[in-house]
Amino acid sequence: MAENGHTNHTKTYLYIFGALAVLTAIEVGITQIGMPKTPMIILLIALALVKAGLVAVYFMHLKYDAAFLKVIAYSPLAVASILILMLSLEWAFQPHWLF
Amino acid sequence: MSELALQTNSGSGDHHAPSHYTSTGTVMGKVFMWLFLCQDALMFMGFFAAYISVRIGTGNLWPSSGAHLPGMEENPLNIPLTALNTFVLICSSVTMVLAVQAAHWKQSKKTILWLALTVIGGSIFLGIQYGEYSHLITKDGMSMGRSLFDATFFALTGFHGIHVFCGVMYLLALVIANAMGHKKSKDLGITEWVFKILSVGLTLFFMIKLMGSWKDGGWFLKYVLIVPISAFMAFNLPMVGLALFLWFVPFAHYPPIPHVLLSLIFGSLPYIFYRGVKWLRAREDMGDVVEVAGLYWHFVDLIWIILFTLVYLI
Repeated sequence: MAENGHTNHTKTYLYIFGALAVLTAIEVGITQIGMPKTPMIILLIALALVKAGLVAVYFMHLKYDAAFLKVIAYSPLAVASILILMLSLEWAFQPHWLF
Repeated sequence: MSELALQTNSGSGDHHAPSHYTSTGTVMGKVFMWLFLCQDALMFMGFFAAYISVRIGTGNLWPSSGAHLPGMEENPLNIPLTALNTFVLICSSVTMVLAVQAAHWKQSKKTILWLALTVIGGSIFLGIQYGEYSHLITKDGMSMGRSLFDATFFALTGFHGIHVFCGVMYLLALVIANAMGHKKSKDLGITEWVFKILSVGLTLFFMIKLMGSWKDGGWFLKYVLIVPISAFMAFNLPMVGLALFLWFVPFAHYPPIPHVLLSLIFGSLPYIFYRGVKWLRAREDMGDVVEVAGLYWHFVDLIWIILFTLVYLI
């Protein structure tokens, strides 16, 4: 069904909703089973990034948007990478790092 | 110099209606909303980076929901409740995206329904967060100045909460605009004056109440200078006044600043809300307008997904 040139994405949206709900449940589950700390943190951050990506790409329509808009939308990731680099250095040089 | 020369449109053919499209063919509102979201993302990134940096520095002393090691403090945060809150926000994101779809298809009733459900979802989120806050503050004794854990928690969740509140207001204005239907009017109607006077009255009310609690200020400074200036701002330029005063947020410790800020923000709400509804009602491309609002709402959801993982789960 396509009205006014806009295709019907309802099914996609519901799949994404299911994925987000399941991933949230998995995230909460992971914290409860008593995993070692470092793999748990890496896993949780990976899952969160997957969820954020799903929201941005499907709900915020980045998948269907013009390249021009994608450049704007993804530009903060450049700054994020600098921050991640700086925080990794901070992590690496912590003297009392106990994870 | 005609208006047309100032517009970068892709030629809509109609010389009187301003085009809402940029020369790239993308809706102008979408470009501006993405630019706004970019700078907002940078702001959140600053908060997140500070939080992570502080956590790296404290290591195992940080109260964590995960593996409980000896010497680790008990985590006061309620994970199941917040997981429920996350679920509520995800649900409201789905209703929002369905509202955008319905708006593009010009299904007015469905748009209103999905938008209203989104507003309800956002309100439930805020309600749960209010309950969580009051429990943490009264039962667990958390406060901004007690510890790094408390400070980062309140800064991150509070800043996000303000975003949710603004989003709920934004979507509520859209619901009302959709329900009242399209109307283009440039004149200052009686309703506008009612809202304007209501706003000025509210600002004055807050102002005089807050000035009474400021013990150090002299009466001349308080009631002859600051109150009338605030009333003038609330009457003439509430939005500009707000924007100007946001620059004073870093000085929110110094007496007249928080008083003026708070009374202008809460006093101007009714008028700004009215203007928002009026502006939204004048727009013909409701599909694009709802889509832009959707971008904001999904961004708030996206931030919460990261915040929930970093602050609550890890």
